[in-house]
Amino acid sequence: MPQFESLQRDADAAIGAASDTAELERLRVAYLGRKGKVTAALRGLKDLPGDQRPAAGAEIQAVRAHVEQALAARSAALTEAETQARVAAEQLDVTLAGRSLPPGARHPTILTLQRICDWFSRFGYGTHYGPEIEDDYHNFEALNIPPQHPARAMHDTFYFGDGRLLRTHTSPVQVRAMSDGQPPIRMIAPGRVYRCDSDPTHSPMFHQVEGLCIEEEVSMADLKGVLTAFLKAFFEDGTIETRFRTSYFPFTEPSAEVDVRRAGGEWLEVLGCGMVHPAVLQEGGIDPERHTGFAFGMGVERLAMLYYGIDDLRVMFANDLRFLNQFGGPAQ
Amino acid sequence: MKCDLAWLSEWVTELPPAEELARGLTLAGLEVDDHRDQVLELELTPNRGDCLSIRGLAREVSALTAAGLQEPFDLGEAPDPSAGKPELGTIDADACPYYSLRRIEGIDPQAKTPPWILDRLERSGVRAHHLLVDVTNYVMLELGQPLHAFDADAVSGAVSVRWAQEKETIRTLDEAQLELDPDMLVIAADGQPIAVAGIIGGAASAVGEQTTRVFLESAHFAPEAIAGRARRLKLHTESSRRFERGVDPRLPLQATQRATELILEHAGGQVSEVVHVGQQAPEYCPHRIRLRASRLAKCLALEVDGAEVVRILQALGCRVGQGSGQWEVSAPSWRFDLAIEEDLIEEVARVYGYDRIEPAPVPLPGAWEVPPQPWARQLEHCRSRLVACGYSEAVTYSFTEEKLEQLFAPESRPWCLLNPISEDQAVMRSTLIPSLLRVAQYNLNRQQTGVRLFETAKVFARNGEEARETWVLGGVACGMAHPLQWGATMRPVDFYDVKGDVQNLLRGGSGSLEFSPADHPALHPGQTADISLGGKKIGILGALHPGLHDTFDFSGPAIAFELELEAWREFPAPHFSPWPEYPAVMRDLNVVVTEDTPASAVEACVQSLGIESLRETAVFDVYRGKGLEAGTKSLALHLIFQSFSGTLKDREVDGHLERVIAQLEELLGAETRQWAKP
Repeated sequence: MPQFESLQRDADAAIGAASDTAELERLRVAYLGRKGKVTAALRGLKDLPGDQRPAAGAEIQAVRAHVEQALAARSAALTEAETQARVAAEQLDVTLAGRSLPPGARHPTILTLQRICDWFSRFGYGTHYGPEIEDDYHNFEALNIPPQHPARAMHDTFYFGDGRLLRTHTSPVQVRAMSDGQPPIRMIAPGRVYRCDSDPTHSPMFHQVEGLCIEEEVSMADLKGVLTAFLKAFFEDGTIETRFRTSYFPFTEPSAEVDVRRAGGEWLEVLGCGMVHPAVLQEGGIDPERHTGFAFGMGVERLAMLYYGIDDLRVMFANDLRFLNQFGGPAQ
Repeated sequence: MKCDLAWLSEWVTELPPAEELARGLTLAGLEVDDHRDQVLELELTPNRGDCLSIRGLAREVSALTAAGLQEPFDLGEAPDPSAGKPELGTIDADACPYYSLRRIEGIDPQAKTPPWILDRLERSGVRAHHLLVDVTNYVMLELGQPLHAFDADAVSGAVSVRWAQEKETIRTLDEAQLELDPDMLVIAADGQPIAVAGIIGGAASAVGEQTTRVFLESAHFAPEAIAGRARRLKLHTESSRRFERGVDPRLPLQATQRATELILEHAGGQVSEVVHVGQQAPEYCPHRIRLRASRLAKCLALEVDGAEVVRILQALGCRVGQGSGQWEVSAPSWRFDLAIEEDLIEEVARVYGYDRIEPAPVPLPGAWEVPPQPWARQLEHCRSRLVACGYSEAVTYSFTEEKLEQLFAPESRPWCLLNPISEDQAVMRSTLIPSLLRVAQYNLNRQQTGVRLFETAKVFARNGEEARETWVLGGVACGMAHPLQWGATMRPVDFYDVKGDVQNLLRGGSGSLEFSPADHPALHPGQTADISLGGKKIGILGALHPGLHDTFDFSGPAIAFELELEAWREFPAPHFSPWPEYPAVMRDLNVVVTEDTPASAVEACVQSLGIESLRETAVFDVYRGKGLEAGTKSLALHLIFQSFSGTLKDREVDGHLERVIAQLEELLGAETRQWAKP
C-alpha cells in the first residue's frame, strides 16, 4: 500500500505546482501516458504474487482516478485563470471613437422630391421629366398663356434669345405627356425650374413636382381626394387639415390653391391645382367632352422647408456640410 | 390692393366682421393677406381685374354673403355745358374702343382736397398730390376706371390715340425720359405724345398749382394694347394694372360724371359736354355661355340644386336663361373673364364652396398599370451608394460663369442666357465639376478637413440648333481622405480613393468597368482616366490640373469624376453565374516591368493565356527603389486558380504558372520571380 501512497502524493504536489496548461499536459503524460508512472505501476502488477494483485490493482486504479480528477480540476482552474488573464490584458477603452469613413448626407430637397414621387408612383403615376430648355409654345402658349397674358408677369423668365427659354414651371411636361400618350394618363413630373428672380425668399432655380391625371370621369372630388391623402402622408399627420380655396391658373379651370394647417397652427399654402382647362386638353389632342383631368403643382423646396423646419431658403442652395449633415439618417 | 372697410360698407347693406369677411373672400379666390385696422390687403389673381375697386369688391361681397348691393350716391345730371368742347383727332378703334374727354374750366387753383378723400386715399395706399389728381385716383379706387387729367393749357390741337413712332420719347409725370416702342399706345396732341395710354401721363401736360382748365380723359383701352408694356418700361402704375387686366367697358361715362361732380363740388368750374369716339358697351358680354347641369355635376362630383345655380349666377350679375338641363348665361360687362362653361362651373363652385366637395377615395392602379421606374431606381442607387462612400449630396445652380465653363469645355458653345441675374450665372453648364469644386472650396473655407460631394443633374450642350440635355452624376473629393481619428494617419485624398469610389458605385452591375489614360483640359495630364463600361465611354475621372488650383483657391489636390447616367442605363440586370465549390489555390508573383507599363497591361497579358481555372488576377503591391534598376517597378501579382471540376493539384497550378511567367517575359519583357508557395 504505502508504495502507491507516495506516487499519489508526488502527483498531487506536481499537479498543484503546475503553472500552465502545457505543464499540466506534461504531467498527464508523465503519470497516465503509455510510459507514465501510474501505467508502469499497473504493468508491474503481473510481477506481484497472485494473492496481492487484486488489492494492489484496486489501489492503483484509485490512484489513477485520483490523478485524473486532480488533473481535470487543475486544468479547469488554470484555463479559467488564463482566460481571466487574457481578458484583463485585452481591456479596451470603449469610449474611444469608432473608426470609419462616415457616410455622406442627403440633400433635403432631393429627399423630399423622392418622397413625393414615391407616394404618387404607388398610385400609378409614372415619372416624366421633359426638357429644362423649353420653347415658348410648351411653357406658355399650349398652357393657355398667350403672349401679353398678365399671367406671364408672374413668371420672370430667363430667355436665350432664339425663342427658347428656361422652363418657369414643370407644367410644360403636361403638354408633352398629352401629346406623347393617350388617356388614361397619370403622371408626375419632378424637376428643376427657373425664374429670373433672386432675393432672400426667391431662388433663380428651384424644384417643382407637377402632377396630371386624365381619365373619362375625373372630378374635383378626385383631385381633392388625391391631394388630401398625399398631404396627410407627406406630413405624416392623419389629423392635418387641408383647405382648397379658389385661385387662378390659365391652364386649369376651376383652379384652387391648397393650404394645410396642423393642430393650433396657421394655414400654410402648399400647392396649386385645378381641373385641366379644355383649351389645354385640346392642344394636347384630347377631346374635353370625353375626357377630363386634373393637374397640380408643388414647390419642393417649400415642402421640404415645412417638413424639416428650415426657415431660410438660401441654405437650400449653399450646400454647407454643416447643413447637409443633418439629413439622410435613418428617419427621413 | 387695399380696401378700406368703412368705404366698402357704404356699398353693401351689411358687412361681416373683418376676420370673417377676410376668410370668405380668401376661400372664394380673393386672397386677403391682412385685415388689420379695418383695411383688407388683397392679393388679386390676374383674372379678377373687376375687383380692383370698392364697387367691384362690394359686388363680390354681396354675391358671397346675404348682403345687398347699394349705390351710395346718385349720379345726377351734369350741369349744362358752357365750356368749349375739346377736339378729338384719330382714335385707333381696335386699341381704344371708347375714348372721351371733357373740358372743365374756371377751376379754383387754390382748392384743397377734402380731408375725407385724403383719408380714404391714404387708407388705400395712394399718395395725395393735387385735388384734380386726387379726385381721379379716388374715382378709380371707387369704380375701377382709371382717369387722367391733362392741363388743357398745355395741350394744343386735337387729341388722338395712336401707336408710338419708332424712337418716340416722352418725359413722364415721374420725370423719367422714356423711349417708346411702336407697339405702345400713346395719347398725342400737336404731333407730340402727351401720355402713354393707360399707363402714365406726360410731364408737360401735368396738372399743377396753376391749373385752372383741364381735359378729363376717360377711356377704354383694350387689354392687349396695354399688357406687357408697363413691364417693359419698368413702370407699374395703378392705371396699367387695371387696363392690362381689363376694365369694365361701361365705366368711362359713369366715371367722368362722378369725377366731374367731385371736382365741381370742391373746386368749382364750368364743364363742356363729353366728346367721345366709340359706342357705350352693352350691359352684358355679347357671347352666351351654355352651362349644362350634367357637366357641372361631372366636374364637381356634386349635385347642386338648379335653383341654387341660378341664384349664384344671378348674384354675380349674370343673366341666366333656362334651357332643358342647361342654362344660357350672359356675363355682366365687368366679368369679361367668363368665357367658357368651365368658368361658370368655377363660379358656381367657389360661391357654393369648394369645401362642400367631398374628397373621393384614391383609386389604386391595377397591378400592371404601375409603370416601371428603372430610371428612378438608378438615380437612387447612385445616391445611396455614394452616400455610403462618404459623399454628400449637393444641389447647385444649372448656370455658371462663362469663364469657368470655357476652362472645362473650351470647344463648347454654351447656351447663354439673354437676361442672366449675374455674370457668374450666365451660361448653362455642360459639366457639374466646376460647380462642385466651388462648393467643396466653400466648405474647406469653413474648416471642413475633408469634403466629398456629388450631384445628379442635367447638363446642357448643343446638337446643331437643338438643345441636348444629359443626365450626369458628378463628384469631387478634396482635403483629407479620412476624418481625424486615432490609430489612422492623416493623408490627403488621392486619385485611387476616388477611383475606388467609382468602382464601388458600379460594383454588382453587368458590363466590365475600365479606366484608361486620358486628356482633359482642366484635369491633371498624368492623373486622368476615361471611364468605360462594356467598352463604351461613360465618363471621366481625374485630379484638378495644378494650374487651376488658384482659380478655385485649392491648396491641395482635388479629385473629380463625372458619369453620364443614361449611358449606363442600357446595361441589363446581371445574369447569375455559379461559382466553383472546390478550394482555390493562390500564387503570388513579383513582376518587374518598365515604369511605363500600366498595371492593366500586366493583368491583360496574364489573362490573354485564357487559362480556364484562373479566376482572378490582382496587383496588390507596387515597389520601386532599392534592388531595382532605375526606370523599373515591381508589381506584386496575386493569382487565384480554382476549378469547377475538382481540387487543383499543385502540379497543374505550377504548369499554369510557368506559362504565365513565360508570357510575361515574352510580351512585356518582364523579369518574374515566384513567391514561396503558401
